[in-house]
Amino acid sequence: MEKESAKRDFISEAEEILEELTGDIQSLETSIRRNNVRPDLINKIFRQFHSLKGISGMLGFEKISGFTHELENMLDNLRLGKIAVSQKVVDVLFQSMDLMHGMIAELIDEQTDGIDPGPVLRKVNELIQEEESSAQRNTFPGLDLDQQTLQSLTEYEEHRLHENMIQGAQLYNVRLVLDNATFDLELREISDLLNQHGEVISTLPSFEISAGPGKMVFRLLYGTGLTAEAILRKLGRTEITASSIRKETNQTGRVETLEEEQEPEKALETSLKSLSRTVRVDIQKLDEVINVIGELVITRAMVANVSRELIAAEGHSRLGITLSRVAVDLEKKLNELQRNVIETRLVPVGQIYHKLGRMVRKLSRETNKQVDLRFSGEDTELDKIMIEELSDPLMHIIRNAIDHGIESADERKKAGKPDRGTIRLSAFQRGNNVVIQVQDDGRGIQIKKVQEQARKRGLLPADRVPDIKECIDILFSPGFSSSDEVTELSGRGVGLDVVKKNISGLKGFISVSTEEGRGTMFEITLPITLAIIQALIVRTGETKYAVPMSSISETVQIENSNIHTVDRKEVYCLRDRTIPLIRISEVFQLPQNVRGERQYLVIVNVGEYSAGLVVDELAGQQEIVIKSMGEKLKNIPGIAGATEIGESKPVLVIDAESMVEEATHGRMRAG
Amino acid sequence: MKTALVVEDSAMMREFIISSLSTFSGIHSVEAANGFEALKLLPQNAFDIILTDINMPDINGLELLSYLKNHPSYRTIPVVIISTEKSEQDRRRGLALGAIDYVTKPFQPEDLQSVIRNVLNL
Repeated sequence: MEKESAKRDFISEAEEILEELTGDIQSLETSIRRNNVRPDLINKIFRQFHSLKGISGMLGFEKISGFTHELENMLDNLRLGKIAVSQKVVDVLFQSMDLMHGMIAELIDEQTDGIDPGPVLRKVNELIQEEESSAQRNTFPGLDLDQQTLQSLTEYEEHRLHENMIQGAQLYNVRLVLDNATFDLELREISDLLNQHGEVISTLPSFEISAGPGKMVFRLLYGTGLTAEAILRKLGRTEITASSIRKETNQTGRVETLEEEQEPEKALETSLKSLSRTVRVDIQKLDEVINVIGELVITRAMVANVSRELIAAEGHSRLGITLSRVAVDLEKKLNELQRNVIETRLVPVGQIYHKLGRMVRKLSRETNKQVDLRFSGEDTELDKIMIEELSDPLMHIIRNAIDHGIESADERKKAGKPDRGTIRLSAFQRGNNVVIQVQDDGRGIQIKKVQEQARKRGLLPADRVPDIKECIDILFSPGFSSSDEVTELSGRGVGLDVVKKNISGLKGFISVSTEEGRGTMFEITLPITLAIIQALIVRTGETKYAVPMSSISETVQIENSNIHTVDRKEVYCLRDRTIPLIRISEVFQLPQNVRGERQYLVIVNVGEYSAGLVVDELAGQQEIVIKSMGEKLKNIPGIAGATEIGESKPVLVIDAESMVEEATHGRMRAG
Repeated sequence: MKTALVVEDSAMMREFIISSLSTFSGIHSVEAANGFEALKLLPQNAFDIILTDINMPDINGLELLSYLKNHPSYRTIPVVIISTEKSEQDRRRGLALGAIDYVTKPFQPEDLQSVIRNVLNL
């Protein structure tokens, strides 16, 4: 390896490892608080520092290798149980991370004497001194363990086996026969499942002729509170056997009293507690539960209907009143159930922050721009599915910010700004929505540049000078890129239009505010979950529709004197604003119905744009589960899907985003 | 031409090992990022030597070694353990399981080269 390129590789690998370590150390801290520290997490942290030490040592980065060497020693003691896992350890680890970042920066700047690891090293050494005297543990008299397995245990695995014994877990030899082609995937899946209920201590591949050709045998050493039958049931497979390897302990012939008998049970209970506080569930399973709840919500609505009809027909009979009480009770319990299930789907936004942090460091290296990424609101929770779908759009926005927003250090200096640019990523809850903001302190969106590019691409007539709002619209239009040449960063043939599409696919919307010279802020607003949403049921003519509450700002009764026509389009004057009107029958080209005496306006908002849906009746608020209408009808503008509301026919769910788009942009095009 | 299998979960370390081996013009290296990959590569190649790290996720180096030494087709392939100076016990176990030699991390290319030269009689 050539030295400079080796150094570059080391820096980028080290930064990646440090990034992952930050997440792992945070998890460790949380798990200490919750008293469910996972030994494999400590082992992973050990391995990461071990890698850092090994590589830096071989490349001759002595300061880093010397420091990580001591840390590795401490972590080795920690994973082998020689020192206790404590907040003090976590503090030292975090301080070490800061130091590591500093030392890497030194390496980049080719300095060596700025950072003194001494104070942190002393703390590391103090911890190493705390080593508890640990007895020699090479033998396992209580276990029926074959020599091959015993010999293949690393020191760490041996320690874990001991810990499991002390905690009173049952120990099993789980034998698996798997296909040669897929054993790795299957084994990881099985281990994950087993680790939810205990700890896979070792995984030994073994050669057995009897397994037959194309098969591979694995023997897992597994500690758990489960019985052998329960293990097999959990795995739900036939080619697996599990046998206990703990020898019977009451062979001494001693008469055991009741209290003594309870001891191991108690131990088992605590071990179970510490090993399986959480359960991993396939998100699809939760979707199914939500679906069933959705159907129950409809059933409840039907019960409520029946009770109303009964009361209407028979007056307040005992039966009618009881039924309506039951319906109310049912609603309360269903709400509770729903809330609980939805909560299980929520994960903290912080999960994607790490990934983004890594990207920013990589990009800032590539562009030679110094950029800091600051986070806030890591704990804000959002549906798991949304978090996953969100990472691409966020990456794109941040990439744009670094590529186009943040200026070079020189340019920044001239503008009187600090050398380093800052991107702030914050998340918080606003009502039933989660808002995620990406804010940079760069040069802002430059109207002139956007205008130039838009003309080049035929998106703007030559004589038209757009205002900033229009500029932002142009940025989001398909095929627009503000950079003269396609850069490696943002120019991947994907523009902000895709970001917008992704966000609206999540029933959210994106808005932008910018100030030339000061920076730009993208704001993404999302519902907390897609699973169940609040909707307003409206009627126009004979047909009912559902409008998601998240996009409604208010409803008003229409006064005809406030309706005007501008550019052959209807608008409504609401207080001091002029709002374009949307008649659903026109949008869907349905026969015009006779207008009722009283009509209402449902004001829907998307970002800063609003439009008014004209309806004949506001038929109440209800929770709905949006169902897709199948492949063929998937992309009809104006419709987000269909739902059932407890009546004979399903109703369409209005997609406010595309309706407002049509109303406002249709109008702009006309102008 | 001899073929070496390098089993190591750190990409950078793997590259370092392979570049150390590249001084021998007669050695072609195949890499595995973990024990599973190694198990999959074994039936498809005739390896003349295997170098393995010990502390790896999924399957550790000792478990891999134990499998190799109990398998009629792989029993005779020499295995060199790449361990840390810290894990004296792991190293002893490896040698007991049948590893032919070991290198301790951090090492210099020459350290590994001299072990390989011995093992393969180069």
